[in-house]
Amino acid sequence: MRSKPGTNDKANNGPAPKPAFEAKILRLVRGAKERRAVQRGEVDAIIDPASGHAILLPDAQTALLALKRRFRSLVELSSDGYWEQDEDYRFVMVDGVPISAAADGVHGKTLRDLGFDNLSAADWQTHATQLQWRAVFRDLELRYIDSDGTARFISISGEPTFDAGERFLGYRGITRDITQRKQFERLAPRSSLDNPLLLDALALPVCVLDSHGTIITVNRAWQTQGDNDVGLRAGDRYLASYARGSGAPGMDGSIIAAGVAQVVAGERAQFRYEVKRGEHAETRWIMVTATALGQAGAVGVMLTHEDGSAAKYAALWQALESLVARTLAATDEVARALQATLCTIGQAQAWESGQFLALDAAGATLRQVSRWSSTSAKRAPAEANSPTTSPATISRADAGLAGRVCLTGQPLWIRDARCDERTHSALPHECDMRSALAWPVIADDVTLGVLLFASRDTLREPDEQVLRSVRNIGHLLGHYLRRRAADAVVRHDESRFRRLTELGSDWCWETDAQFRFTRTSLAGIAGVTDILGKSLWDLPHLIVSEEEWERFRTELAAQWSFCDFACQARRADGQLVSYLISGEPTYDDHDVFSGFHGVGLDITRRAAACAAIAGDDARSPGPG
Amino acid sequence: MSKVTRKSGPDSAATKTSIPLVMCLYVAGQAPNSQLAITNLAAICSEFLHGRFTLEIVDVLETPLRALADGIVVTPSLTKNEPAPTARIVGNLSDKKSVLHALGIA
Repeated sequence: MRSKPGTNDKANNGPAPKPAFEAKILRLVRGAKERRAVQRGEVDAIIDPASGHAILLPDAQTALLALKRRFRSLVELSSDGYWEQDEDYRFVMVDGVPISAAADGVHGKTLRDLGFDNLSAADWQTHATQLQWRAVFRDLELRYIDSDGTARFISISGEPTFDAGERFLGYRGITRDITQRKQFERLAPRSSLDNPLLLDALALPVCVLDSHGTIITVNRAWQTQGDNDVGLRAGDRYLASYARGSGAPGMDGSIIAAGVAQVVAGERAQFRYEVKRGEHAETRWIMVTATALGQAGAVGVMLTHEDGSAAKYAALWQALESLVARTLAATDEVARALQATLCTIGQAQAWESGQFLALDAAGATLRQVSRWSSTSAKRAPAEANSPTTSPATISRADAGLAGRVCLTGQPLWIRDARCDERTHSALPHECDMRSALAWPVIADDVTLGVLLFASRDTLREPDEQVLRSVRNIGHLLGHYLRRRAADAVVRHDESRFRRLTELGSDWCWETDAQFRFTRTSLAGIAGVTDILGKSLWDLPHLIVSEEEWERFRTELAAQWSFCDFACQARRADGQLVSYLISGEPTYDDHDVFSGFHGVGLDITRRAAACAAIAGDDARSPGPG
Repeated sequence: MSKVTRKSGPDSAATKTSIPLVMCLYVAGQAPNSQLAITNLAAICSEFLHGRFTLEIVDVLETPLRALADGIVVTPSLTKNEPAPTARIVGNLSDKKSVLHALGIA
């Protein structure tokens, strides 16, 4: 059993908790168990009943911030490939870098089926536990032998996926080809680090540091493509450059300097950190990897700067898919769901405005039913998630960027309106900004509308992975809208049926499987006060012939629906009342017969009128 | 993390009853005590329950109202919902003896 390191020490020797804060927290916590746990330092968060929000305690908040900084999310890792597994962990889709050299492919196989030769049984057991617990796994390094006999290394990371109902769907994740890094780690100690040919053969930008953090040598890739913002060359002091913020701004530079310094000092074998450079369309994500060469870095430190921007951009969109799915699952109200979706996408991708345009049933017009803008979100964050009440904009379904999306059924974008020739002919009222991305919202191959986002900055050219995510988001929203529309129809039908039933009948009834009444409404049968628990034929005042009862019971026993079963009842004043009773069998969720339900209609007046008409006919002389 | 559910496994001689334990652990993301509670509970499940349990993990940072609806005010908290009697354990579950007692295992 693990106990919290230093908990007791902290209680005895650590800084005393701030009395005011503790008092405030304890005011929220009334239970004795909870109060004791707070005082023991075993509580991370308190849920404030007034606001409904979880309040992180200072220690937990500090720890989470540190975690966030240290461990970047899965989607922030650069990748060379993308994969998906079903609920049995079998690959159903693999894109990009190969996962195995298996001749018959990887589809339908689990990771363990693929014959990687560098993991032990214990490693696989750990991985199986991760999957069983639906945990995110990162950087699982695997080795396989390629078809030409060379060893290849991949690093694989994955996260579980769930549908809107929280049902586990499988895993999906990314793959990185780390063969070059592994080869270099293996070869470099023997290369004496002075063989430029070896370094230049690597496509990866590489430099080597000495034990003082000074660059000994760089390869050609470093000179031509490696992290040009830094511009460090052989002889430059790498650590000093990053420590003073030249290598990377703010905290990133300090973290890289500290991490690489640890590797140089032999305190750790490897350090990896992803740093973001530039803004908007020019944003790049560089993965800095420092690996000790030789024992405790005695030979030096190999540094690589990998540009994983394209894959990172795609991964951010993939993460957005999950976010949108969760957003849609959280609300049943269409207007709020649309607003939340626009807000989620807009904020995650730093758009300045977004809107959903619904295509009418005739496919003639697009109507803006929801919109979001970053400025309104900044002014009033609470309102950003509220459905808009502004008047809707209506446009022709073949006009503008959104119109073209409707026509083609494909995502379309304008990277930079200043230098895009389509802008003048195709760009629409909706895009008064520099860049825009629009894609269809589709359900069952029917376009329901268009999502359109715009920004004053240029747009990074979306690649196939991004477009796939964009289409998936369109399908998610489309299916949500279709489901909500179907629900509304069902509710409307139910309501209409109930009204019709109420109009067309005088009373409703239900029986159990033994045909005993369990529920009746409104009038019931005249003269009968305690109908519940009795069968229709047990009621004393009903006038039905024995043959009719026999036929009726036979039909019920056969679980047949019946319509307009006619019977009469005598009221206390002796007057006869006529009824028509109709019913149908009911079944439970397991298709087991559970009784009948139906309606009863008082037709006394109608029967009297019919009798009167029949009497008149009998009295009147016949023709001729 | 919204949910982790484990299906029933083979019977355990260590448990007092043959009815699987149904538990819910309320955590605050990856905060230290919450992670510790998950680790400690996993160890207990592995040692004593051998798969005869169902565990749901609720992250209050994502769904605070769910916790409030369940009467949970602080995290980490563990509730034993079945079999009766129900129990609620507050803290990082480091006190193994108390946890086993509350779960009806020891």
